[in-house]
Amino acid sequence: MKRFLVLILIITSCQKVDDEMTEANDRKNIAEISKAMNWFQANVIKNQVSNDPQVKSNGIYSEWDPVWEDAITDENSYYKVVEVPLKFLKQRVFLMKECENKYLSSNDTRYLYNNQKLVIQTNKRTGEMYGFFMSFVPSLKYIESNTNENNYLDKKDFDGYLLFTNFSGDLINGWKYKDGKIANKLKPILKKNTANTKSSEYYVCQTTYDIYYIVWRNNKNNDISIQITGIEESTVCFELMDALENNDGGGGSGGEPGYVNEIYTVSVNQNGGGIVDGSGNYLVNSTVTITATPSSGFVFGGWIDNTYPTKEFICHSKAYSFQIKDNRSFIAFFYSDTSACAKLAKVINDDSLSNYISRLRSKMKYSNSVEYGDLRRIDGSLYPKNGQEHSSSFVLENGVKYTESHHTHPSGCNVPSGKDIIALKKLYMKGAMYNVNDFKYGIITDSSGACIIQIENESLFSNYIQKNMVDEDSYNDNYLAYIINGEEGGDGTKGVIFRILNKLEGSGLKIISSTMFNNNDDKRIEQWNELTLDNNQLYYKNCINL
Amino acid sequence: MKRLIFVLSLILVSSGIQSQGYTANLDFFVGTWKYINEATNEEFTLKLRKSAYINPLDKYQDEKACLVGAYIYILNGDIITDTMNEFGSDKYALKMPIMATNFVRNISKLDSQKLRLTFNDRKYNKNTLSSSLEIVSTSPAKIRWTLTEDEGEEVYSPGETIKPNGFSVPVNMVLTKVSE
Repeated sequence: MKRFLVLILIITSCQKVDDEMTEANDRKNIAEISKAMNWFQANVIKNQVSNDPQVKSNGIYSEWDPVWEDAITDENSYYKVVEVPLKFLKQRVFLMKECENKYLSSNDTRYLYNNQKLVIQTNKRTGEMYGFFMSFVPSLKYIESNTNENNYLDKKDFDGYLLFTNFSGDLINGWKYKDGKIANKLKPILKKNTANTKSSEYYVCQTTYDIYYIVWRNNKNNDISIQITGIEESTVCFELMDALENNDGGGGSGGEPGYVNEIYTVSVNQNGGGIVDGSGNYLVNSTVTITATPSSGFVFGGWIDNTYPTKEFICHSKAYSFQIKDNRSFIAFFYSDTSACAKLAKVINDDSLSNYISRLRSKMKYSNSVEYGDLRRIDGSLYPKNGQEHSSSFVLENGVKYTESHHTHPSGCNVPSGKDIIALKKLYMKGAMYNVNDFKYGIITDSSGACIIQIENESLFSNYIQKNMVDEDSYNDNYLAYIINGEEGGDGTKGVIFRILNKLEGSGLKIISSTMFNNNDDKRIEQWNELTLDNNQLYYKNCINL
Repeated sequence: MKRLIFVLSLILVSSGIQSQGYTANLDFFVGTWKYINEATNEEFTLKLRKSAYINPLDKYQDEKACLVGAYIYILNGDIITDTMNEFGSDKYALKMPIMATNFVRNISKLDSQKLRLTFNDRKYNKNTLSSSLEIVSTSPAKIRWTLTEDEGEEVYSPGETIKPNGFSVPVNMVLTKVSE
């Protein structure tokens, strides 16, 4: 039963047919637009007739053309998108009830507004292309407050319905937005009686809420003729679904290909030794927090972003938050508490290290031979006076214990000197280390990275210094003569490191180093290596195998 | 002259071969060297002789050719440091006031013009190995003396005397040979 309420209004208007696009050049990828145009011409038969009797009877989308010169481009990790405004001789306009009422009481054609676009997207991985129509059906609030700048990949603060149709005009799916966020997924229901059997809480097909308006626009003089169709005949019902629910034909990540992907999946995995949380489906632009909790006996090393094609360290915080715009995959790294990597993670994850590096580097001037350094007391304060020249030379305070000590090597030599080993010995012998196993002794250069010496085995270290440092001056002389000054003959950093490790074999000391000199990178665990010798070979042992 | 230096270097390289290493031009450095700066009223005298040492850290434990020596530094007529009484000492080379060598095990790494210098500052009670003696010219015989402080943290116990920064002698000067 069709009861069309037909109202023909001839309105002379200066209003533009569609949004005027004033996009920046970076939104105009000519090659992509050209590709989309070719695809469109080869694959889309305009003015198709829908199989949907309702649509067919109204001749929806029967007369339209893409305005290619106003096309814009966009992309995310998965899709390249070309968005093309449309010019119509006849346009189907979806209205929310509140907009219909406002229009009827005011005759203001602003309330008959839908921003409708042709969208052609290319799957970046497969190269496959799809096309569809997109209609922004705004709420009253949105019409009265917004400039309609939303586009396919960035919905900003849109409020209303976003509907997708195929080229025959068949409604495929849609989304209900509230203040820029998705409130519901919309699943079209063509049989009205189905809708009536459900609570209105779950449906938007309230008999008069959605009305078809058919608008004839004259592109030459912008005259608009509006035909408002009857309610019963034009009602399109949508089932209001949980926005994160996957369903057949509902669009989203699990829906029909070619339609908007508003749900993204977060996959959180681990290498063993803890619990991770955060996997699941999320609405685009929502804030996602993933968390890692190490089990007893394990230490958390950091998060790896494993999202194709990325694979990189991103964060050492147990909780990591981000705004989701694509499917994402993460791996949490846990290490056995007694492993070398666990100790490394503890060192790197401590903010005081990066603070030290940043602060001491700021004191360094290129070619300046002055060394800077200090000790950190248990209460966190620094000794001697912060920034004092030659502060890497100091007198221990009576009865005071320290948690770490760092100093600069202005020459850029990123390895411990004989004096460093002697200093470590003195700190140990004088009982100045608060916790021997966790004490950090750092060497920082301006552009050659940094290294940290740790006492990994106190018993071995104690034996080593008693055997090798009876005569401290001789140790320093011989150490330098053998290692730094290169009796082996200037064989570069690797040779120096090799000799250091040879010399320190059995010392109970561990050296970890970072060759990076960017302060942020110093906090990235994959930039740090434990230096080891095995069977006379030098190894840079990394704790994250990317 | 350059050819002469080259030939001389080859002869010295050949004669300087140790059991597992090489040196060059050590004989050129042997003798007495002097730096005089009338403007600052400074006089520095360096005396070098040939010797050998065994580095206890080296796994080969073989003798390496080197130079050892002593120095005297006079400023404004005052003797600042005088170690000449140690010149004939038979103490371990690295414990001498001066030790210098270009010993390497890989001949391709041999620098025949530059010696690594170990300087023991008797006045400041500190040493450096990050220093060098380098040939400036062979006729007249001149060498450049460059001292650089070794890097590393220095930790003192309460009450322990702190070593001054820098050195008690000039850190950069050109010395002229005054006698063999």
